[in-house]
Amino acid sequence: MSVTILRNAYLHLAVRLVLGSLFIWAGVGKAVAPLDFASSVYNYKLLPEFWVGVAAGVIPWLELLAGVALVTGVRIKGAASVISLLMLLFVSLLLTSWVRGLNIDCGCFSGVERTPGLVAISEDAGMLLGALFVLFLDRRQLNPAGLALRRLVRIGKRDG
Amino acid sequence: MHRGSRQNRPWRHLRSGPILPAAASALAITAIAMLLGGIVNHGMIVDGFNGRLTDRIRAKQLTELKAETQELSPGLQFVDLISARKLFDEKEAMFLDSREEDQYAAGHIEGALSVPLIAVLLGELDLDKLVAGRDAILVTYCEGGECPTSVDLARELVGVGYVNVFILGEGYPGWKAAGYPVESGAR
Repeated sequence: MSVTILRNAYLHLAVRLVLGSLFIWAGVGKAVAPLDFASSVYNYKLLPEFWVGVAAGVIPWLELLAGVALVTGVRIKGAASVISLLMLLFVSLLLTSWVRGLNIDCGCFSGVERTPGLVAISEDAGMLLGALFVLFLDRRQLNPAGLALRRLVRIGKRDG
Repeated sequence: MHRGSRQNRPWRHLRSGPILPAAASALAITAIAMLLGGIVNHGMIVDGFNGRLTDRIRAKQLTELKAETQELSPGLQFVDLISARKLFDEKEAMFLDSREEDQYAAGHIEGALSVPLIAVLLGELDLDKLVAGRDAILVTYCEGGECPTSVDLARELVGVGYVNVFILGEGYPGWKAAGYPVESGAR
């Protein structure tokens, strides 16, 4: 029974859309205020200054692109791989910061203040599970956005 | 023969399986993100390379801390580095370090007292014994704009009746970066 649910195409689509939307939200929030995110990265006191700039400049776009890929159904396995790796990194970072007793904003989502702790770690672990689910179980049977895109391309070719 | 040997190559499964396409897509997404992020945030990345990003971040954090303090506790006053140094030179003020004891031991403003906020909140430190007069000039500090404990300590001090309490927003990192006197060791 449970295996049947895991193979349900609607569940695959739902996980993809929820995870993709979360990452679009996270990515846009950070991309429009890069110095805010750089400030969060700096507060972890783990990276040298140059890498703070690089991480704060690139990670929001990585999240945004991976989110868009999941929602549109384009390159979903690649997007799920990127998100899995990011979440592994974030969970390790949050765990070490929790152990170090850092009382800082985790910088997880723009507008949501959260210190490194059980709640933030659980959220990221949940998203890691979602990404692994997409990576290993999603068979891409339902892809409405991709289907609409293909139809648009077909219409464009036919008319033009 | 030739075809047969190609089929026996060990990476044949990788090419036909799901791992290689997923990895290739992940690399493509990463490359586009690096390109877009690099173009849009090139100023910040260059600042990071030139060693100016930390100053920008600290200035931003301090502005936010001041704004938040003014909103929550309008009576609390900040003191800038130059004025704090003047108070230090004239030995008019007592500097109170609100960070954890290990941070204090690693380095603090010369002559500052260790007054960890948590110890004050738990009643482990008697402020009356530490600072006798309610009109004494007190300067609280911590790690700069990223840390609110200097503000919280100042709020506690004002709450129990001290009237000349100032917050050094730049904190220990700002004081040290300015080349002002510091020392290390436990209290």
